[in-house]
Amino acid sequence: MARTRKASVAQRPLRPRVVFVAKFCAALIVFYAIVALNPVNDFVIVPFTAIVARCAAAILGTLESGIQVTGTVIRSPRFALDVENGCNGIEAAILLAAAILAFPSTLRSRLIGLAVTGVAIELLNLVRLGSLFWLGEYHRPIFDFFHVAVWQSLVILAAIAMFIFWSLRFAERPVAASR
Amino acid sequence: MPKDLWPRLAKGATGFLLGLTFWWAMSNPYARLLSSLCEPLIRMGERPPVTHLIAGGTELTIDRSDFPRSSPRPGLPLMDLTANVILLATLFAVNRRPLRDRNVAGLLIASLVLVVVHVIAVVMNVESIYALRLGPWSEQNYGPLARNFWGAGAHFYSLIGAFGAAFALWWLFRPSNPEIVK
Repeated sequence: MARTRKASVAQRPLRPRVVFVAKFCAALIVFYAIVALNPVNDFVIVPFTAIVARCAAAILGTLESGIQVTGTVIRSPRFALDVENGCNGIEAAILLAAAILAFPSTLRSRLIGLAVTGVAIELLNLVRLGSLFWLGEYHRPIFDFFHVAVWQSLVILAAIAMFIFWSLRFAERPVAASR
Repeated sequence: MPKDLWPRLAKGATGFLLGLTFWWAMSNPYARLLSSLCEPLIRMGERPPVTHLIAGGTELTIDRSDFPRSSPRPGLPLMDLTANVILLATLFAVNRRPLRDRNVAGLLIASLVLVVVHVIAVVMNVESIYALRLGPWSEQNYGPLARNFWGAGAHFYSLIGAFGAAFALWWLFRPSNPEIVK
C-alpha cells in the first residue's frame, strides 16, 4: 500500500506546476503593467479606490459619528487613513486573477470565478479598512504591525483559499487539456 | 465545503502565528544578513564601489562614500519586503501532514529561494531610491529607462510581487496533493 502511494507521488509530473507558475508570473507582470499605466491609474484605480474609501466610510459611519471621506482619505476627529494602492484590494484581486487565468479551466468558469472571488475580496477588504481605521483611532501603537504583517497576509491568504476552493469545486476542465 | 476544513484552518492559524513570530523575532538578524548579501551585489555595479548598507533594527540605512557628510541618509524599511515569509509559513502549514519530511524539505527549499527573492527586492529598492529619490543627482546618474526599470521593479515587488513569489514557491515546492495538482 505504502509502495503504491510512494510510486504515485514520485510519478506525479512536475511540469504542470512549472507551467502553472510560469503562466501565473506572466499574468502577474501583464496585470501589473496594465494597472501601472498612468491613464489606468488616474481613470480607473484612483476612482475605484475612492469608491472603496466611501464604502468603508459608510460602514464606519454606522458605528460611530464624525466619519468623513475626501477622495481616498477617510477621516474622523481622531484619525485619518489614506487608502492607497496595496490597500484597495486590487493587489489581492490581481493575484487571484493571475492564478485563475493560469489554471486550466474553461472561459466560463474562469469568468464566474473572477467575478465572485473579486467581489468577495473587496468585501473582505472593507473589513480590513474598517478594522485598521478602528486600530488607528484607538490602538495606534499596533496599527503598523496589523497593517503590514497581519491584514496584508490575511487578505492574500483569503485570495489563495478562494482560488483553491474554486479550482477544486468550480473549475471546469477544458476538453483538450484533460489527461 | 472540504471535509477537513476546520483542521486545515487550525493548521493555517498555527502556521500563521508561527510565521508571524519567526518573522518578528528574526527581523533584526535577518536585516544584517540581507545587508551583507546585498551590499556586494550593489557595489559590483558601481565604479568605484561606494554603497554601504547599514542594518539598524529592521531598517537598512543606505550610505555612499560620495554623499556629502551633512546630507541625510535614506532608509529602507525591510518589514514590508520580508512579510511574505508569514504567507509562505501559513501555506506550508495548511498542507496535509505539515510535519512530514517532504513538507518540511519543501518549506526549507522555498525559504532559501525566498531569501534570494528578498536579496533581489532589496537591490531593486536601493537602486530605485538612487534612481528616483535623490533629486538632481538621480537625474544626472540614471536615464529615463533605468529610472522606469528600477522604479517599476520595486513597485511591482511591493504591490504584488512579494506575495506572488510566496504563492508561486509554495505551489512549486509543496508535496503533491492530488486534489489540487491537475
